[in-house]
Amino acid sequence: MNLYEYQAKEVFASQQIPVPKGCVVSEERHIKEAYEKIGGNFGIIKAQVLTGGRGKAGGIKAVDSFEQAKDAFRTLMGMKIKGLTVEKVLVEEKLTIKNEYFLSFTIDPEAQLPVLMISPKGGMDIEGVAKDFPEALGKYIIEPHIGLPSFAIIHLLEKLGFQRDVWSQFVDIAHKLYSVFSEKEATLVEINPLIETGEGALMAADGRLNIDDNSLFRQEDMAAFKAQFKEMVLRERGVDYVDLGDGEIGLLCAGAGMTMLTMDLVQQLGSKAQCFIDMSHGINPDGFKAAFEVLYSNSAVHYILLNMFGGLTRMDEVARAMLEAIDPMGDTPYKPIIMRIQGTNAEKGREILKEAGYEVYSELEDTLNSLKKMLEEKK
Amino acid sequence: MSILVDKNTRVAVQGITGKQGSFQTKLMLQEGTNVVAGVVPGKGGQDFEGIPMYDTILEAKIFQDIDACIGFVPPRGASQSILDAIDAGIDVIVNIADGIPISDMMNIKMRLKETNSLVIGPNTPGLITPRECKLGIMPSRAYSPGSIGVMSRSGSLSYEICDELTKAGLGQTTVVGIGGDRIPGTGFDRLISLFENDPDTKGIVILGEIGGVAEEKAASVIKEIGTKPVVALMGGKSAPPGKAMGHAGAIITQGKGTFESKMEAFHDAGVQVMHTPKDVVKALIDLL
Repeated sequence: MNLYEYQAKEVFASQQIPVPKGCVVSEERHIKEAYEKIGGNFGIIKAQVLTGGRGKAGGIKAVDSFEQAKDAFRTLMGMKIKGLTVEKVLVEEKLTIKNEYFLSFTIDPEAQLPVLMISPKGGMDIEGVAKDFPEALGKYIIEPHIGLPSFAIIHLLEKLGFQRDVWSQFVDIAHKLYSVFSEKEATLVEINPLIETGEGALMAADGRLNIDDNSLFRQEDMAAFKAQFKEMVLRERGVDYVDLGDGEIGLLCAGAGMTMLTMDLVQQLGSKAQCFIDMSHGINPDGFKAAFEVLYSNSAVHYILLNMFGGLTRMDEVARAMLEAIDPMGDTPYKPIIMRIQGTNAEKGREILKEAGYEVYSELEDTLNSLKKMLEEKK
Repeated sequence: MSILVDKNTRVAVQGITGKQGSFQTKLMLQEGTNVVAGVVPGKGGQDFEGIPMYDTILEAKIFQDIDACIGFVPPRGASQSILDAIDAGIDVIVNIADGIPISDMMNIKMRLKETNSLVIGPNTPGLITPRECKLGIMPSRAYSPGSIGVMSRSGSLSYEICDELTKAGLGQTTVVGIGGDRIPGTGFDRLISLFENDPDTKGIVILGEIGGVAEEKAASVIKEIGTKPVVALMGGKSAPPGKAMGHAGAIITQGKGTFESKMEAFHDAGVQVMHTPKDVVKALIDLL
């Protein structure tokens, strides 16, 4: 589960990490409250979307007055950034910026342990910095039993040329951020930029916090954020949903590998998936109901392709659950669906679906050929 | 021959009396698996279909020789069952749980460091040496004995490929699912050396995906010690680059983990990369 910037900052603030004064706003009339909350010090208005490159896409606006704040609000709300719609903005106080640093903890895929990363060249183009000036990026692999030693941070700060007068603040914030990382069982915490203000204070001007989904059962305060994310609500119903943003086919599969392969094969046909749904944990009528609700309500989805190879999952159960889910949706506009089921009890499953009038295949090639034909006919 | 398990492997099943554990144990027995013990805390001294049960694997190990175990334990308790098996010194520890927290896996990897145990999974269908030993939940019908070693991150994709291999008359020595989690117990790289050392394995199939560095590590091992033909299928070519990964995600992998980097690593190691299950089979037939 990836939290919005404003949520990450709430968590940071609760651990005494300094963050700018700010207020999240989703309705224009609340801008006034935000204005009061930040002490009338306009300000900056930031679109809340879960993607990088927000600044470059015009999702961050500096404003000097109430009127400008309203204009910025109207521009940002509903704006699409990398296929994501802006539904909330964060209104924050104006800060003077002397320096921009980078501080993060994530899991190193090679060491398979937490890693601290620091750079004195924070800000919008940190990935470019990592690529072009790798020496400006410091890393330290953390043994969870030992924790994060201060000497390791200081060593990096010195090596990377940080001014001595920010060291103690930096070390303090790094420790607090590592506490967030380990206590909340995060997969990523990031402050970019960690700014040094004109007054010499360090402050988290941006924030990211991604929590390990598998640990949410014991992270109650993090699990409380779940209700705000469509994907997380669907996951509760056993449905893993990913919006891809620019295709015409809705994929319904079981298993991440099968889902990815199907997505690739659709692209090889010259088409594109609009979204995919991994049903691994949702093979029951409610799971399919959730999946079809998503596929039917997404107007960009014109065709549905179901591709499943059952191991543990019995395909006759899939067929029955699906029919039960489709039937109560009789009033919704029809979207053509092609199905391919294989594996445990697949013959029985295909029989059930054929009887109900659906086009069902056992072989992947036949399925794709039929999809290809359907796509060509529509053109 | 095969890797990791065969008909002589003595197996313990953790959670043998649960809904899934009892159902799958019967299927494993049908495949020929030599299940010698069940482990269910609180049920030590009883038996399941004639198989003696113990409270812990440590206890089972006192009374029985046990080479391998498989856990049918919900994710919240799964790390306990893996740690029990590591402490008991079990060689091959399979765990199918989908949903073990990453921090639990980091602790398990720490504990594994000083041992010779291999953990397969979590979030895997398990492993199978067809008609000899099945430690998992895969549909047996898709598999047949033969000379191809298969390893996969995805369960469903491995069923698909093995089904195609079987239909084409290419049976398998052993099929191993390393699991789809961020921190798998055992990576492709370790399995490559096992398949290389197995005289009956004539060709190897890797079913990879974007993300992580398992494929890159496998490629570097192949480059170093590989003598057998390897064919890979890579999923995720059309996936948009990691949504909301944060910069750290992109920086830490430094270009690794992407479809392109994996393709390049495989290419550099002489591994043929195919894009459909049927093409994988064709490529193998050409190479063998």
